[in-house]
Amino acid sequence: MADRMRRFDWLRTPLGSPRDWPRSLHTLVDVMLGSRQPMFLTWGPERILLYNDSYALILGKRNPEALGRGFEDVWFDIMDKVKPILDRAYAGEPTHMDDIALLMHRNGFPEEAHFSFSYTPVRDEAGSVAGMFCACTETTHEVRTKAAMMAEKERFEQLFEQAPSLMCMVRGPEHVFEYVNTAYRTFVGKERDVIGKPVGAALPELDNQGFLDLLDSVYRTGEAFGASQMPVEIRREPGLPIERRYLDFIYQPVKDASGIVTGIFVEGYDVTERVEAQERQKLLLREMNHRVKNLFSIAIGMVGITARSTQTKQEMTQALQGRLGALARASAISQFDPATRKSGGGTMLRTLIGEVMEPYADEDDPGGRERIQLEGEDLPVAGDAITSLALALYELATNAIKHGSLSAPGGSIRIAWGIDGSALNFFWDEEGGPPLVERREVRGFGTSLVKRSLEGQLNGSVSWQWKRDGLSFNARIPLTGLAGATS
Amino acid sequence: MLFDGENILICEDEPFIALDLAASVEEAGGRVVGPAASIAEAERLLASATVQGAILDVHLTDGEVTPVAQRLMEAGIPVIVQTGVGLPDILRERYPDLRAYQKPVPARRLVEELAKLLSG
Repeated sequence: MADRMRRFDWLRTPLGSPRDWPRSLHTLVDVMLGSRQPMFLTWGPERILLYNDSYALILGKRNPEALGRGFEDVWFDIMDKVKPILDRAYAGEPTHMDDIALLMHRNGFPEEAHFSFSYTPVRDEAGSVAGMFCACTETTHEVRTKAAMMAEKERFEQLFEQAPSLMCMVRGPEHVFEYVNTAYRTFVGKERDVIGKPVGAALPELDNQGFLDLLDSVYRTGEAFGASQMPVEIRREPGLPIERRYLDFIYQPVKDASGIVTGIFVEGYDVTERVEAQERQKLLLREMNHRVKNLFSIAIGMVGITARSTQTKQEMTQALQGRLGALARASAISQFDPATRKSGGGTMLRTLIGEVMEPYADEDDPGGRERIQLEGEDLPVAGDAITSLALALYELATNAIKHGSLSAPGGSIRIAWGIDGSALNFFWDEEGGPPLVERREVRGFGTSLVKRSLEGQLNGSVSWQWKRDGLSFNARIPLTGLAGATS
Repeated sequence: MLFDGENILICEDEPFIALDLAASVEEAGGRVVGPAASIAEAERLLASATVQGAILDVHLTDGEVTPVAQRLMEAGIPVIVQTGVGLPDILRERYPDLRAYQKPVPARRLVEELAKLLSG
């Protein structure tokens, strides 16, 4: 470029012969040609353009014709932007232009390059502005880095938006919401506009729940904080009551280049369903534990009673096995219902009776008749009523086997029931049994057990009638007792 | 004989446990008042009989045995409690000496413990 400038016919330009150029112009041209930084200057009222090799690259196809021509002529296509800045420089004010994008061919292919320009007015010996000197700084790399970072940030934000976990970024000592993702917005209520507000103001119900103190502490110490299954009382939608949820979360301090905490990144997971399931599990376990203890208590009582009411080991074994079996059957059909938190999710009366009478129903019957006949509309039985009914039925059945209708071939029992007002009316009618000569069981433990189960526990009333061929038994039990009593 | 014809109140709604307890008290020389399955039944029994001791279950058919236990404790009558879940707060706080046994407890053990209180 130095050669070209020397050979250039300056006489054809308003600048005239270089020998007549002022000293300041010469000095600037020397500086410019000696620099590798792109530089140019314009001189005179016509703003004649002079530049170095590095700037020639910026000019691209405009070089070499641009040399010695008016700047406004060369850059006609961007004059609307550049001219006001140039005019200000000519008026004596140093000016600056950041990030001008230019399409350049310096590497054999077109590429976008970015420059910043600083325009310095140049005065002649008389002190008036004669020209303008410009050093150009290429900012392509910085611009690209910044764009890449922006793209990265956008990509992260997109990922954050889709993330199932709650995410937000809070800035400054007041913890002002800068960013919240979709999951977070959903958690705190979509109607709430939290961006730009401090956490305490945006979510006032968090006051006194410890979260603000934790944020303060993370901000102050720069140490991350993590918690699991932390309860939070939050209003999920405006107008709805505050509800309790459980969160696993971390507060991660965000630091600037010098290590100073500038904000906190929050990531959390709503684990309420998991926590509630665990609670149900615990409750279930506690209930099961209680039931097992209760069953053992009853079993221990059974051993005591059975030992007293039997004569031989064999008799006791049989009686005890029968009672324990009835207890086991009752226990198997009653289930704990976590939804209502009541023991005994419940069963149906017909199922219960069928279950207890099952060991007696399948014997060969020469008369071709069902040994056990069930008649009645089905109704639910729940809670401890299941055990009470099952054990009472068992005592009736075992008595029928020993002394009643089931002790004779062809004997049978008709079990019928119905709802009478607010009570269950239950009938046990034995037919075809041997003539009853003894009634020793009437005052025995079996009768007491039935009475205590149905009267004592279920608040009902019972009556026995001994007929010629078996027992006629009736019980009236309030439906409220069948629906599940306390233990 | 552990007892000498004393009247012993039994409150227990579970039939097998109640009858086992009643038989055990009788075998030990006591007279059984009850067994009552409810607070109401216990109060009715206490209205017409004086008792010298009691074995109480906490959960009866009509609620916790607290009023019955309080009445007996205030009268200085020895009381043994058996429970599946623990003593009601009010009983635990008011009567720190009240003996409570976690179910399951053999009936004989409860009878022996009550006999100790009566003799002691």
